[in-house]
Formats: sequence, C-alpha cells, structure tokens
Amino acid sequence: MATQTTAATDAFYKQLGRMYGTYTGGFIAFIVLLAILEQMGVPNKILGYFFVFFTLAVYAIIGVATRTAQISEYYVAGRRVPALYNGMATGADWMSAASFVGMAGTLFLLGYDGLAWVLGWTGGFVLVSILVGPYLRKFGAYTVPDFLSFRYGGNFARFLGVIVLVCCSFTYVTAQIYGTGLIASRFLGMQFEIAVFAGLVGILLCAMLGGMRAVTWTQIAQYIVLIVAYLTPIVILSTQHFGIPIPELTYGKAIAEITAREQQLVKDGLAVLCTQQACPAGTLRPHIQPFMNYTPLNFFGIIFCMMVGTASLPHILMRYFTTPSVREARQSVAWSLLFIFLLYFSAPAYAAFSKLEVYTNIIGANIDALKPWIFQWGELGLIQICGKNAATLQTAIDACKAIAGHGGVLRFQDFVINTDVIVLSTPEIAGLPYVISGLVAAGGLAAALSTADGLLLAIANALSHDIYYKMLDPSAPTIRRLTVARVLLFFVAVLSAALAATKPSDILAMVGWAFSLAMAGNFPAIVLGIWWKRATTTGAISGSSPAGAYACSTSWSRGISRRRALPTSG
Amino acid sequence: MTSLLNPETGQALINVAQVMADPKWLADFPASAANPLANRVGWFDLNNINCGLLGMPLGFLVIIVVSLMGKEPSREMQALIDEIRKPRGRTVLEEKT
Repeated sequence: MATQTTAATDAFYKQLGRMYGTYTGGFIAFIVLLAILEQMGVPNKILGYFFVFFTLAVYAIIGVATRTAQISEYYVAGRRVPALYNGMATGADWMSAASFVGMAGTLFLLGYDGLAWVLGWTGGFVLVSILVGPYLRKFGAYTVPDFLSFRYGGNFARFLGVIVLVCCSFTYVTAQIYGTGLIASRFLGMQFEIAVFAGLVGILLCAMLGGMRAVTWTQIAQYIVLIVAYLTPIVILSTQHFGIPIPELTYGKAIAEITAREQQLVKDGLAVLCTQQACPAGTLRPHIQPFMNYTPLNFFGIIFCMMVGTASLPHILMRYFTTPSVREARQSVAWSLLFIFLLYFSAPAYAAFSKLEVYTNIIGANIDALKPWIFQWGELGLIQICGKNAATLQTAIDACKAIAGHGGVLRFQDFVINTDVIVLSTPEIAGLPYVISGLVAAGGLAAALSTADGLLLAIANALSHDIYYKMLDPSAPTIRRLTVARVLLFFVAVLSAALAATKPSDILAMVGWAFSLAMAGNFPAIVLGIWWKRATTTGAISGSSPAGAYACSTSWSRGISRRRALPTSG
Repeated sequence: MTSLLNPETGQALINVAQVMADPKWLADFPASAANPLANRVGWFDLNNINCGLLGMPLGFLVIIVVSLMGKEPSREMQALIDEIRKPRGRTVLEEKT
C-alpha cells in the first residue's frame, strides 16, 4: 500500500515537472515570438496588449481548469502540494507588487537605507521556519483564526484573529490591486481607475472558482513569469555594461560608477550634495551612505517589523497548510526562501543599474531631448520635471523655463520619479527593446495578481469558514459554504479595488503597514500559543486587542493623511 | 514619549494643544479618533510603518502578565501543545471534509 502511494506521488511530481517545464518553454518561446514581431514593426501598444492579455488568459485558464467543489481542496488544496512547488507558490504569494515594483524603486531612492526592506523580508522566513510554519501545519487548521480558536478556546479568540487578518490583508491587497492598476493603465493605455477594475477580473478568475487549489497552481505559473521578467533586464544590462551576465557579481562595479557619477554631477553643478540626514528635498543623498533617510532606530525597526510581520501574515502562513506533511512544510519554507532569494538578491543590483542609467542618460541631458516614455508616466502623475507632471515635452520645457536661471539642462533636483515606476521604466531608461518592457510589465502583473489572489483568499476563507461556518451556521452544507466563500471573495475584491482606485498611498508604504498590523495583532498570540503552554484565553484576548488596535490606528490614520501622496523624490 | 519631531528637519511637527483644540482632527475618524496624533508620526521618533515595534511588545507583555494572573490551561491543552511541537506524527486536528 505504502509502495503504491509512493509510486503515485512520484508520478504526480513527474507530471507537475513536465507541465511546468512545458509552460516555461512556451513562455520563453512567446517572448522570442514577440521580439521577432517587434523587429517586424508591430506597434509597441499591440505588444503590450499581447503580454498583458496572454498572461492573464493563461492564469485564468489554470484557475478555471482547477476549479473544485470539495472543501479541503478549496481551503488547503487537498493538502497534497509538494514542498518544492509550495515553495514556488509561496514565493509568488510573497513577492507582491511591493517586492517586484516597489523594492528596487525604494533601493533606488534610499540607497543603502533601502536594504532594510530586503533584509527584513528575507530574514522573516527564518522565523516562519523556526517559530510558526511547521507547527501550524502539524495542528492541521484551515485558517490562522482556526488555530487561535482551538488553542485558546471559544469563538472570541477566533473573532479577534479574523479582525486582525482582515485588517492587515485588506491593507495589503489594496496595494496589490493598486499595482495591477498602475501596470494595466500604463501598458494598456487605460484610465487608472478603470485599469484597477480590469486587473480585478484577472484576480477573480484565478481565485474564485478553485480557491486555494486554483491559486496554488496559478501562483506557480506566476512565479515563473515574474522571476524571468525580473532577471532578464538586469542580466542584459550587466552584460552590456561589464560583459558578465550575472548582475550580482557586477553590482559592486555599478555602485562604484554611481559614486563617481554622483561626484561628477555635484562638480558640474547639476546636483546639490546632501551630507547629513536633515537635507531639503531635491538634494543628492549618496547611494552608499548609510542612515541618510532613516535613523538607525528606524532602519533596524523596519528590518525587525518586516521579519516578524512575515512570520505573522495569514496569507503566507496558510500556504504551509497545503503540504502533505509537517516535514514537507519545513522543507517548503527552505524552498520558499530560495525562490525569494533569487529576486531579493537581485533587487539591489536592479536599483543600481537603473540609477546608473538615470544618472547617465537623463540627468545632464537637454530638456528638449527627453525620451517619449517619460511623458507616458508623466501623464499618470508619476514623473515630474521642474515641479510639474511631465505630461508633454512642452509642459516640461515651460516648467523649467519658469525657473529663474535654468539653463535648459536637466538637473538632479528637476527630475522626480515615483518609486513605483523605477522597475517598470528601467528597460525604457536603458533603451532596451520594448519587448523587455512588456516582459517586465507582465512580471509585475504576475507578482501583484499572485499576492492579491492569496490575500483575497485569506480574507474570504476567514469570513466564510471562521465567521459563517464556525460561528453562524455550523450545519451549513458544503455547497453553501463554498458559495458564501465565493460571494465574499467577490465583494472584498471589489471593495479593495474601489479603495485602490483612490490611490491611497505608494505600494511599499501600504505593504509596510500591513506587516506592522500582522506583527502587532497576530505574532504574540500565535508564538505564545505554540511555545508557552501557560498562555491563556484571557491573556491572548487582552493582548491581541490593544496591540492590534494601536497598530491599526497609527497605520490607517497615517494612510488617510497621505491620500494625496505625490511622487517621491528622485 | 512625545518628541514629535520631524526626523529630517528636527522641527516640532505639531502643536499638540492646537491640534486637540482643532475639531478638524475628527474628520480623520475612525483612525484618528483612536489616536489623533498618530498620523503626525512620532512616539520615540518612530516611522509609522514601524508601529508594530510598539504594538508587538505590548501584546507579549499583556498576554504574559494576564496569563500568569489567571488559571493555567487544562492538562489536555498542554499535552496538545506538546504534540504540536513534535515534527512527526499525525495532524492534530482532522477537519471533516
């Protein structure tokens, strides 16, 4: 019997390997085909449509093909996702628009200080592995509130768990839907507010019918797209600049060139050097100088919050509920870290190559020689030249002319680019073929969609399983439970899209709040629940509520005050 | 505790008395109602993204203190927690499917 099971498992693993191998080959062939079409003169807009619609269609097909009407398949993918594939799905679930679009942009803007995000997000998986993930799997719950309810007893602990889950996941998913809107509006030429809802259709098609099962197999496909998309431009840039196709090895040389270029810009009067933390906006902060943007306390605070937040985010923790065993859950964390490492280790290099291109091709150029891509982002309000949104070349020229003594050459302080644009525009900044831009957009979309799927599922599952089934109607039949889950998923998705359409803040900030919320509300109750037998129901209830409320109030009120967030400085 | 300084300029970010006197902060309801100064940054000069840095230790502290003050969990529950920590063996909670 055991031999039969092992043989069946081996066959299943081989089949998965064949399927995703074929998929990867097909995706690379698709990129080559579009590159050929570009050489034949097919317009960029058409190529952009191909990238966005083709990838969305593939995810939707996987989502629909893996639909299910079984509860365990819907909530935990039948608990038969192999460690390697769960690692890949967790990688996609984890690497959101914040990682793909926002992180390199933040490293570009903050230089050394931006490393706090990379360190925190990578280190968090050590905590998941040691403190939380495998133990929740051993417990065998469907959701994190399920664990809290069983461990602490009663539905009040469950209810608090759901509140924390909804607060942090909703903040997080809004950032992802904002990311899909940003990409869709730029590459499909749609109005942002409409693009947000267009992206939503893709998200819903992946998650609604098949729940965790569909999301898992879609996320693996999305991981392949996002990692190819992220690495391709920097491999090309590394080869172009230094003749070595491994950006992590040439990163140091790029940093040295950035430092030399910064000194040159200051010498040529094109930038004003900032030498301490309190500098006016528009001054150049050296890329390699630490603590120019964050105080040491805030720098290490971000590392700590991102680490602990990682180990508390319900949509990540629930991924480890899908493995066949506790052992595979532990192995899966190691695989997740490897797949995440591939992107995170490259992000500082991405930021460095991008910055080098900006310092070489944009700062110091004549205003009338600016490239058209700048105006496409400027139209969305994401690039400013001389203090005005760079919607057209004439707007930029007029804005700079209005500045007394402006010589018509773009200075450092004249160019302001939103951090969310850096990754998406790097191929254009470097003058790479448009097919690379389209590929990066497809990667960004995959990252945002995969995380949004996971988050929406976490919220809908908590509401349908924990609130509806466990608290309101424990005798509900399977079909009704699934219907409730799907309806809730739809409404939560629409609500977050409506919020994202208001551009509440930049992606990284929204994601940062979600981590702090999860950290404050979930971490103490989960960790003490596993590691301290003396923790009681009253203690958990009293501890989760004030901590979560504090974090919610600070994060959200800050979010309200930043509703009109403008592009961050360049 | 209430330094409320802009980490960039070192200037005071807000006049507390003025803000509390100004009914406009109510417009931020419900978040600001819970903590009207929160959106201005500030305790220990912490960036608002790091608010978990204060919330999490508070959570740990409250759970530990309140738990120690009450009756300890049942022996069955303590045995179950021991079981969860073992890497081998069957899943503790089998859900009906």
